[in-house]
Amino acid sequence: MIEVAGLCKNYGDIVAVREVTFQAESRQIFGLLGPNGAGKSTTLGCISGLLPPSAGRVRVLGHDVVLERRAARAQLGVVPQEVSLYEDLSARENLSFWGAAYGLHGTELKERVHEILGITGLADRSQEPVKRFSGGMKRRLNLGCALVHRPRVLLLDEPTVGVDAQSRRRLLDLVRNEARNGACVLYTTHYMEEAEELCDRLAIIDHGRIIVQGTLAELHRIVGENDILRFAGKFDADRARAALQDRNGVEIVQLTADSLRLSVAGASHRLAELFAALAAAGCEIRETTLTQPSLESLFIKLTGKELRE
Amino acid sequence: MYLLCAGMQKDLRRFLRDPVALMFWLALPLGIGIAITLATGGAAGPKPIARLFLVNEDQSLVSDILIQAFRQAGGVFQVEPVERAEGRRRLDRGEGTALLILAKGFGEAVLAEKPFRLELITNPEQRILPQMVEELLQVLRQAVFYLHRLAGNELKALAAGRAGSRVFSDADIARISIAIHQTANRLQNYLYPPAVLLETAPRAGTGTQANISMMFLPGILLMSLLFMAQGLSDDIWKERNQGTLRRWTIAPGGPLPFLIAKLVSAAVLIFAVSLIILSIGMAYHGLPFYRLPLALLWSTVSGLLFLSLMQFMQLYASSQRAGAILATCLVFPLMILGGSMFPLERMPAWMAAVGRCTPNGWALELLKDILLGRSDPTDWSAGFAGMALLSVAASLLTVRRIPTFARN
Repeated sequence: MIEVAGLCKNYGDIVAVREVTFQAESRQIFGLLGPNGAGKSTTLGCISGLLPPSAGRVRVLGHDVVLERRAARAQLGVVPQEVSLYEDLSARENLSFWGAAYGLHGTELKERVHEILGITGLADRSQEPVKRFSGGMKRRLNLGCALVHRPRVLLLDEPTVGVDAQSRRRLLDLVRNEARNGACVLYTTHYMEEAEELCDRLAIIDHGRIIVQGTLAELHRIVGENDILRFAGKFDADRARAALQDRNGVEIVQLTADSLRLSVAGASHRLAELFAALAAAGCEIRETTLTQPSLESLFIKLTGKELRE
Repeated sequence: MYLLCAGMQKDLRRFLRDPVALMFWLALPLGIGIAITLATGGAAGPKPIARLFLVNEDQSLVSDILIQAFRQAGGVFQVEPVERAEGRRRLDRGEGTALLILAKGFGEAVLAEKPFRLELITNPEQRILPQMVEELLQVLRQAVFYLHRLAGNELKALAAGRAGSRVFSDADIARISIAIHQTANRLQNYLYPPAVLLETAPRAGTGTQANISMMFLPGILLMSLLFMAQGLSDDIWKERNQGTLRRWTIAPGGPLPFLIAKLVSAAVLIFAVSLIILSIGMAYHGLPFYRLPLALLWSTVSGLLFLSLMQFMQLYASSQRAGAILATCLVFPLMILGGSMFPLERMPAWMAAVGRCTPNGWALELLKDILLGRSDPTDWSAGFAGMALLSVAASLLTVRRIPTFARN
């Protein structure tokens, strides 16, 4: 349903997205996971037609988003990162307007608006101006406006940012439901847990490039059984490397003057051994963090940094 | 079509939910209109009067005749005898139009056709009335010249014999009358029938004479339209800041139908405000209402042109604040130059010429002609075509710019 091939987006000399390639299918939630500024929103912007790609090709249900713009856009429902609603209009008026913008009218529009108000849980507040809504309600309506015309492809750009746990749960249920009903969902987030909970397939993106992609199971296999062990303190790079290099199941992920990250099998049982080896090498350890195998640890392993850095 | 209707409905709802802006667009021109009408005495207000301070140091028959001439000139001049110092002081305070000093010897000089210097000091704060005083003096000067051509000898004799006297004897009057009669007989072949027939007639058509407050009516409406265009053009920033402009941009139809819907809904508002202002103004000034539809159409199209131009300009501003400042910097000079604050007729010629070249000055001139029944179908049809062309060009450029504006 979505085919992205060799997508590049440059802003002058700055490369925001480089050679991004992936496919997402119907009934699938495809996650784009990466830190802020990794290129997730730019990729989504190119797919939605907001940004013209610098190179590469994007197809939505077989329609090229640049050459067959109208046909491609008609199939898309886009939930922007920021709430994009008319604050002085009511929820019903917002839904009606965006439904009409995608060609719905008459009874069909009325029924669909009624339905969306029901599934977003806003039916009892449908006549109130949106400016009186809470952040979570606005987010639900923001999603509702993208769903009103029954899009076959749904693009969601970090839709749960700044939302309370209850609203977040409701939003994720709505997204899951859309996928179950046959939509292809492309979901960007920098919340690791959200991606693990929601997505069938994932691509991890950093500095505009996809560094790994696959199903959750495939990514977990790449992570392996190793924990990520992070030390903060003072490190002499050469001596620390010498002290650790021949140890079985220990791999240096990142080493700087004040930080050391290791990928270690069964790290909780080897803490004493590693402390001793580093102390003997003249390293001063002030803080230790142990992260169990997860997408977070995969990201650290692949990029040498944490997702939220 | 559904999209256009939905867009219009959406924008009209949003505009109507901001009653303060609507009230401002209506109250401002109406308030100014009422103030101007009160200040100028309204539609049936007094004609402009030139207040002439006159120092009569001559006290001769001729100076009396001159004073009478001013008093009888259609009631335009209010002649007030004053002393030289008092007249000067009051003129300096701006209380009068001009100060005319008839120094001693004026009467004798006129009768003897000798050069004499008349002193006329005008009020620089007034433009037209002092000119009228000057014009009348010029006419009287020429009248004296021709009187001398007709009865110069008699007048000179009179001056020689009765200098300074304010009363003529019966014999003098009879002598002068006979002399003038003989001269007229001598010239009758040339005078009757006159070689040149001057016929004064009002301009053809059903034109209406404008008084001062009526001259302000189109200017006030145009002022309101400029304020509306300024306020409505800012809406593109609201759309951008609330993210809805991005949604427009990625909708299947692109931004064009949304922009058209926005312009149409703005046209409805402009039409409504124009209808109220024009109806009140026309009723007050007694203008015939059959001129209203064309005036309404013209003001709506003019308002749309202003909006299209300002909307386009907003898209190049670096921020909403910069856009607002830019629009304000544009609106006020346009209002001043385009005749909304001072009628173009009261401006210096060069300034009025510049003003007529501004979009609002141009629109104002034609609106005035429509209201006063002086418009020609050729004028307004060309005007409509020009306005429509400019609006379409500005809107197409706006549509081209919107995707970049929405992304930034």
